[in-house]
Amino acid sequence: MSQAIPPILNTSKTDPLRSRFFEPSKLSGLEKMQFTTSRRVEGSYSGRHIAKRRGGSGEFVDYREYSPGDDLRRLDWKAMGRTGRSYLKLFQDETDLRCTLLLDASGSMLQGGRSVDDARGSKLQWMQFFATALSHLIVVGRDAVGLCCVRNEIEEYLPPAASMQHRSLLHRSIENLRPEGETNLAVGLDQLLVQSSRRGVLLVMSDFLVPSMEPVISSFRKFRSRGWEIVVLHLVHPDEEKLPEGNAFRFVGFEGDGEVNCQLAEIRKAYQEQFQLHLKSVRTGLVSAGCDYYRIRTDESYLDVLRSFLVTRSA
Amino acid sequence: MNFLHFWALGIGAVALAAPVAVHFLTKPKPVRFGLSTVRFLREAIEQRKARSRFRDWLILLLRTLCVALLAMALARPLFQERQAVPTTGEANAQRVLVIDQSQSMTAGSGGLTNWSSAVVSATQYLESAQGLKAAVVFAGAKPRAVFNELSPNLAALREAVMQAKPLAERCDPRAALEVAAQILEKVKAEKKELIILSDFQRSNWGTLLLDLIPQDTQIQFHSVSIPDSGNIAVTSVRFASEPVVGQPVTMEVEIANYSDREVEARCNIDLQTWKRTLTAKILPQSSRTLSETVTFDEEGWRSGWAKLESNLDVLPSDDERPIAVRVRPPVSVLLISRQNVQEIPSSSFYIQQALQVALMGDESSNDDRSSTKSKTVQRVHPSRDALRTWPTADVFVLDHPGSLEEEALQMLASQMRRGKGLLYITSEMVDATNLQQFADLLGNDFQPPVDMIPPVENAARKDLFVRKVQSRDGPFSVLGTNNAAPLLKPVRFQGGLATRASANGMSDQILAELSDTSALMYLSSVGSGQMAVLNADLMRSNWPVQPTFLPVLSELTKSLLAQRGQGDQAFSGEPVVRVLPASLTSESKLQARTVEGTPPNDGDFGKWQWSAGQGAMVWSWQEPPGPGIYALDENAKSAWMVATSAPAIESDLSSLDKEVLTQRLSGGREVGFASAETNEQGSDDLWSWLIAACLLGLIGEIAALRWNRM
Repeated sequence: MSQAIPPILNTSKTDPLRSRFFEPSKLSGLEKMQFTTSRRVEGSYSGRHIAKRRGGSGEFVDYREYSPGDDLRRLDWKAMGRTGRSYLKLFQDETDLRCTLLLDASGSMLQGGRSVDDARGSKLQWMQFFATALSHLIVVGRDAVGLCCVRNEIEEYLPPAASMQHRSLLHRSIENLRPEGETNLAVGLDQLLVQSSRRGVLLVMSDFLVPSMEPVISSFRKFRSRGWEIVVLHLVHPDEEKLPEGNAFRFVGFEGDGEVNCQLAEIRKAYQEQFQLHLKSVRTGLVSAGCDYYRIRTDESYLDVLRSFLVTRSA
Repeated sequence: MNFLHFWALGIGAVALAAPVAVHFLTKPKPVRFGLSTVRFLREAIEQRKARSRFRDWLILLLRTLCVALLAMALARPLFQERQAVPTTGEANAQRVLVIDQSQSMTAGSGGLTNWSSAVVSATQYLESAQGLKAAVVFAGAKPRAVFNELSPNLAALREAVMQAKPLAERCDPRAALEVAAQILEKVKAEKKELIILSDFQRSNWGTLLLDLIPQDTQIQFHSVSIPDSGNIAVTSVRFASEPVVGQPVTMEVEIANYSDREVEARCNIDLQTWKRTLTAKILPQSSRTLSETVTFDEEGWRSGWAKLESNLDVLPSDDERPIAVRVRPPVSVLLISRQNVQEIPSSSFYIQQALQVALMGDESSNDDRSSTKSKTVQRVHPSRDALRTWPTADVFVLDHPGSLEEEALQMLASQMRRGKGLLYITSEMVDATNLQQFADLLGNDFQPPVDMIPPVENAARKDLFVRKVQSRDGPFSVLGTNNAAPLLKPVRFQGGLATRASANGMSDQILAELSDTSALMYLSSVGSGQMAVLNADLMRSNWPVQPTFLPVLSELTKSLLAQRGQGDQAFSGEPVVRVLPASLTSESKLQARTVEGTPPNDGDFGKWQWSAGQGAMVWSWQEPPGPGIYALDENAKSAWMVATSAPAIESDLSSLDKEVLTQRLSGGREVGFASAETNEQGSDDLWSWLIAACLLGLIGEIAALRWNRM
């Protein structure tokens, strides 16, 4: 397993436009893999993904009996001449994928960081590496990728696009992500739904540490009802799961939760039970909403996770 | 409760602050740590809050308790009983000390005895104090007060206590408390105190009553008993029957083992010319009777000792017991009858023949049977032979004696009082008159179960058979418990007298009843002797020719002799009254002496004088000492001997528990309790329990911590 969180290179000296979280040399091996989906997608341009729409060109797939109103240009005249019956030729259209990365930019994503100002080792950093790499792979695959950063509401939104310039812009946005405040994922989702003109794939990366999961699930249901495919990466830091080693701690919340003094020996087990309950409820809620759920531990290498994620997606 | 190292409690009190300080000041310094899931942490803390708080206080309590217990253990607590009366003399108190002086107070080991502890404690109670008056009563078989009233002369009382010695006698607590009560009743002071110093033997003090003591008296039981480490004692020496010259007799020595281990006892018997060593294993808390057959060659008194060999127990004074026994000449029977000797068969003939056979059987070891026969049953005619010519006998048999003269009746009554037996075969109305005269002469000494009355007119006494027989014990037991009735079934009686239950007699003295509910036979005590009445006309009955007649008559004769002395044992310190042999008539010729053992104080051997009521010399001795053998000599020959020792109950050293004394025997009164043991060293094992409790507390703390983590 490669290093979980790679050291952040200050690349501004050589290429000021390149993100600190972009590691092209490590991603070269993954560029042949596609971020794909098993569902039919709705794209703007021709691409490698099966479109929902059956076009007049492309790969022939089937015949259908003509019915009044059908485009006469797709009528198989030869067959009509041979048989006397009218059939339409159906072709499978292929189009590009529109993927929107929704990143949780709330304060809780700083978990694991060295300080509020130094996010090294945090969930945020892991997410930044992952999102940068994934967006790169999507663009390399000639698909469109957009970005939506959410705190209390949408902080930044970049509609999906497939150009390299757009990718660089997106990388810059990811690099400059500064998490703070509370999470209101439901509001951000609702706002994104309003702003998105076309359907696509919504990839959400969050720790889902929200006051209530009900509105979030409700928002996901709305996306699903509009034909969106939702992929959820639930980020969990090891400290959240098991609490740090040691006994006496003064825990400080990242989202204005205040401070708690406690001795972990007394409550570690009860906490773990509580947290496992939370993980279970998140998973149950999201899966029931039709999301493709992945729980990710941020102590794992983002490249390994990305590889297995892409393999799973393309399977 | 007192403490040996009181300073440790002070240190403990300061140290109590340590766990509190540790609890509040040494909480670990928390490390600041950012955590996104604080809300889950809060929920977990809330969930465990009550449990954690309880755990915290429990641990604080346990730690504090451990420190307190450790401090108390280091302080060495001494647990002492609540005392109603302070050990040392108290000002203006009126104090009576009752000190047990019985034999059991000599029990002890390693030089420390119950008595020495009692003396030490008593002198402490008699320490001089302003206005303190005291009295001392020694509780033996009789109470002995130093002064008969309270005295301020405490020095004299202390001296008397130190001079006193325990006696080989029992303790009579009731009598001692009566004396103490009399002394206390005279006192008007507000502060009355009664202190009883004793080993509180269960056998002596188990029936203690404090009702005599004035209610305003503070009572304290002061136990001086040593821990019971077992005692082995000779509790009794006796003979199965009265020793007769030339006849073997079984000597029985009872040895009691009051210890909790089995012992092998060796008992040496020394009866001057006859010495034996008896050996036996005795189970714990039980007694065993060792027996040995002995034959005496000469008549007269024998004395000696039964002593346990190499017996190192807590009470040596009961390891030996004196023996005094009289060896008598062979049994002689005098048949008094008006019937002609030549008249055969006759009632007296049957009786004489049967007695001769019975006594011959008794003396089977004697080679010269014919000579014995001639001597054992002699016969006199009450009207022909003068009374003074009547030979002396052990058993008198009256059969058809006719109306006896008053002198003869008096002589027979006197003989019975002194232990002789009388068999009366009643068949005529004159016999009823004679019996009534006996009853008048003997007074309370003779209370027959039935009165003889003439047969009811027109109700001839014939074809009578045995309806009821006492076969479990007595002469009929020789026939067997279940066989007596069937064997007596063919026996028929005729004649005799009717009977009716007397007012004062006890019905269980009746040995057999006839079919008309009249008594056939009864056996009644008369002084030291016995009288048996056979209510049957043997001439008109078929019983003399039945096989059951001889064994029953033989057993009846033995019963008549059974009451005779089998050795003269007496309890030292308790009155001894002995009716001396008829041969002794002159007081001046008698001289008392100590054969062996403790001599009496001031040479007081009691009094011996003629008693008209007894018709004999009587030796009465109010307080014989003991253990010892004492003889009354006439012309340098022992006429009587008595061996004195303490009662066997003095050997059982088991003491009454404190709870029994202070709760059950106190009769609802609040009494104090002290013991020599707690006075000297207190109960000094409490510290170990405190250490154990401290360790338990520490274990409890660890358990609480572990439990909280679960």
